[in-house]
Amino acid sequence: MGWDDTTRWCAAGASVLGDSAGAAEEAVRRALAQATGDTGVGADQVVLAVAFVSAAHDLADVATGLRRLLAADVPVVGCTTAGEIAEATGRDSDLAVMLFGGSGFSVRTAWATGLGEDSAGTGQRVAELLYADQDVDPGVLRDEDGGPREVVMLLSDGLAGDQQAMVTGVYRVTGAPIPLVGGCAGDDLVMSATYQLIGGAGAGPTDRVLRDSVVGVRLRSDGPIGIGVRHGWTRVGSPLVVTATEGSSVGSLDGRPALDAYLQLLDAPEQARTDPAAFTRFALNHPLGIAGRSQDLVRFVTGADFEARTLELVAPVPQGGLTWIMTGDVDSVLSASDEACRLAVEALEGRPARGVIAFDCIARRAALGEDSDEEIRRIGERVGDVPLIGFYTYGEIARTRGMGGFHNQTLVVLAVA
Amino acid sequence: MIRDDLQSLTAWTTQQLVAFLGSVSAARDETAAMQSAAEGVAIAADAEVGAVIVDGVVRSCIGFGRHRVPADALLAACRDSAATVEIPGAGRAEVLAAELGRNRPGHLLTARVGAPFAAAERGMINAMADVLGLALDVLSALESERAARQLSEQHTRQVTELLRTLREQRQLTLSRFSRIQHLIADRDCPLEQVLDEITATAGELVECDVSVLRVGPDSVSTYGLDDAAAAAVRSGGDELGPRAERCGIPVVDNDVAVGSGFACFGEPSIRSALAVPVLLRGSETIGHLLLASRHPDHRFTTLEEALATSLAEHAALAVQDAQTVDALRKALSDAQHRASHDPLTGLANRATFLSALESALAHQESQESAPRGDAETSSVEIGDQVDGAPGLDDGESGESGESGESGESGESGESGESGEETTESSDGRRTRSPRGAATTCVLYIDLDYFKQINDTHGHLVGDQLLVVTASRLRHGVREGDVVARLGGDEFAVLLTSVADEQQAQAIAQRLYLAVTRPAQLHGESVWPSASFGVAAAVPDDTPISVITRADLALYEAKRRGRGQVAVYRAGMGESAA
Repeated sequence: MGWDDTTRWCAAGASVLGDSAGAAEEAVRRALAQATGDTGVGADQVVLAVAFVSAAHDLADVATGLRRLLAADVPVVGCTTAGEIAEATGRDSDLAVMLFGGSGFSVRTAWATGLGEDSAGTGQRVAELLYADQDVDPGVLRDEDGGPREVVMLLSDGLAGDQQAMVTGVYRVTGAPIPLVGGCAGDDLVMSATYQLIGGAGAGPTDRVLRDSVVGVRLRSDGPIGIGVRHGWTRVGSPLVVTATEGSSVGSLDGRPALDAYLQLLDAPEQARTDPAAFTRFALNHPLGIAGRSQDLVRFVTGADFEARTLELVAPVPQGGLTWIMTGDVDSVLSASDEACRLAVEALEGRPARGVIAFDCIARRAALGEDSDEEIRRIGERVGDVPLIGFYTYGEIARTRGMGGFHNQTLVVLAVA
Repeated sequence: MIRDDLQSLTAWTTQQLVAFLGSVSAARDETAAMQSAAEGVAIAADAEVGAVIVDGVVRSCIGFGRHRVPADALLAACRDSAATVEIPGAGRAEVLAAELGRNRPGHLLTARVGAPFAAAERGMINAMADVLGLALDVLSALESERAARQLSEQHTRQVTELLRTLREQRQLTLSRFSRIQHLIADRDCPLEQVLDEITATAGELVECDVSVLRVGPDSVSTYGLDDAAAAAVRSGGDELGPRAERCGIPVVDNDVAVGSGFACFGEPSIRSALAVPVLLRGSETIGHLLLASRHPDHRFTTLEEALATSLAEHAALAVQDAQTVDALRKALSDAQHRASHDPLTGLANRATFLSALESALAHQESQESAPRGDAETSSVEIGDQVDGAPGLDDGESGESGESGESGESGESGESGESGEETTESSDGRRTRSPRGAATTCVLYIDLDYFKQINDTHGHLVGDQLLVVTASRLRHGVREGDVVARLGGDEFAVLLTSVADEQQAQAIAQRLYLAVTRPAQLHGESVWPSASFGVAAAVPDDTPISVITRADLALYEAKRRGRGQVAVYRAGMGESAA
């Protein structure tokens, strides 16, 4: 089957309408118009709809809107975000939809809740459901050059559980053959509740809005799949020993209360020392880094306990380990975006991308400030003129090598040829 | 020398080991420990596959997804260190398998595609396998204990049932036993406290006057005795308890003769007593629980005997739990030490040296913007040591000065001045060192003619020379400086805050004199010789760049005929090449 066949296509649409159902319907209509323009195909060929939605929308109403144009058995997944990426407007939309269509794609979806209680077990259950139908045939999974033909995309509740443990749980089932991508759902930085959406074939007769859950998509393609991952942060100052932790809360660094050590080393502004909201904004630009084999793993500082003088991180760091405070500037973050896109597209080995999904950390957007539009523009430029959606996440998932797959303050780009 | 594999050695390995220790030691049982270890080793090595193999069986494995685990290939890789394994969909992977340790034939294995394992990673995974072997030993011991505990709980239930009918004390008994079991399970609760609780519970539940729990030679808990009697019982005691220990079964005396062996228990006299042995793992006697009543009519019943037996079992469990937890803690800390130190000399190994150097460089950088008081103090200490050291050889200093001139003369002139200041400062303590002037230096040391010493005197003498050299280096530096064996006959010293390069050179001279003193090794006289390279850190240095310069200086010292100290000067790299 040649790369220019029409048996698989992607199409993207977005909407800024305030009415949730209306916005979803408009986004799907625009996507279908794009698909029709490109390939002359329609709604009856859609095999998967992916929706990234502002936390201001009601996901149940979004599902209603999607179903106005899509049949009840079309698999639908989605989540609330901390901002959407959509090529239609070149900047934040309130709702972005990507449609995958044609017989060249095959899709299976699954979900599980209980992420906060048992993160690894929840990841494992989703993966078991995704692969319940058959054993993986390695011959089908990779093209001749070894590139992946199958990927699992995960959308998880960004405010529940240990995401690396969740990825480990998925890996217990998928193992090395299957690359993993995805992102943690957000809620526009309110940090109160995120939602995940799933419906259609395999996931049950009704569309469900979930919390504390992982939603998984197993996407198999006749063409290659590329994944690029980069963060763009660098270490500042001396390494600090993590001297006390409890879960993802850091009690002390170098034997000193963690919050004090952090504020002092960064010479934090007065407001960040007293006002929790100001602290969270300040911390967006100053994650912690853990030494990794190829690239430091970045860990987002989500807040602080001003009474206990502890730092709250998005994921645990090992006690006794070394950590660095990290920093980035607009240039380093943007060049990481370029690099992630280049890696994803390069993996397609010369074939043009048919669709691109970007999982971009909300903290990178905060670091970019005014320049976040520039980032989206550059992503669009790098991947070429193809359907593109994405969202600003509370944590990114990308596993292509090794076992670690949870990232922070990173851009993950999935390109499908 | 060591430049080639420096790249892979960072604080990373130590970090991963710590995380692994945490996850394996938190496992509830052997199965959970093996799953956690397989996942932990793969995460640590950022590898595709992790597995635990015991007695020729793959007990846990991650990374093959839904494919069949290629057990034969994994087992073969345990036997053949050069073996590789095919991971479907990912490619052919290099395998690293480490033995679990003496007590358990098995391996901790990891497999990675596209990135060979570095020496430091091999060390890390060996240490992880050690830890896993120990954790499995401890967990299997704890599991047999848990079985014993269930028996004991069953016993407690029987006793409780009887008590309910006889005394309607069921609730109290249950809650007291549950409290004891909680204390035993709480690994932070000191053993003494658990034993005190058992003693008090015995006294209160049996409603006797006195209870005494004696465990091992030193531990005695008492209940119902005043201070004087308690002290007397601690040092002496009765005869009934030792009898129960000798017989290994409960012993009752319901008609204690007045004035008999219970005199030290005070007044009124003890009239009846029951002693049960405390048996470790059901067989080894380690003490006894004694219950006694001063009431003339009190008779110990078989029910009370059963209750006392159950409490004595709990005491044994508490002791054994404490022993296993201590053993685990010690084993974990030993494993951590082994992973970061050279087994022959006890010095830090390469990885540890590099992470210390990395930290020192980072600290130096941060100090340059905000100088700290302690830098001042430590440089004065060095000044004292330099002055106090036995006669520095002028000739050798001169030679080092020469290499200084061939370098960047402006800079070496400056550091020469502050070096003089250092020497003069020994009288005027803590006044000299300019704030923030502290710098980080690396000494790279190689024993001269070490191969000939090995060939002439044998490997035992060679090894002994390495141990003696390590000790001499360690004693010649300050607390806070790091001495490491980088491998073979190569050593390195990290001087964390010296005033300048000249002071580092002076320390190197002193260490040179110490290292090259004649030594009696296994009855043979050996006259060691060594060459030293010295390099000071400059802004934006990495561990590799500093060590590389120290290595070039060492090369220069060797080139000039060995047995001397050379300080790095620009251009040495070219002459070496």
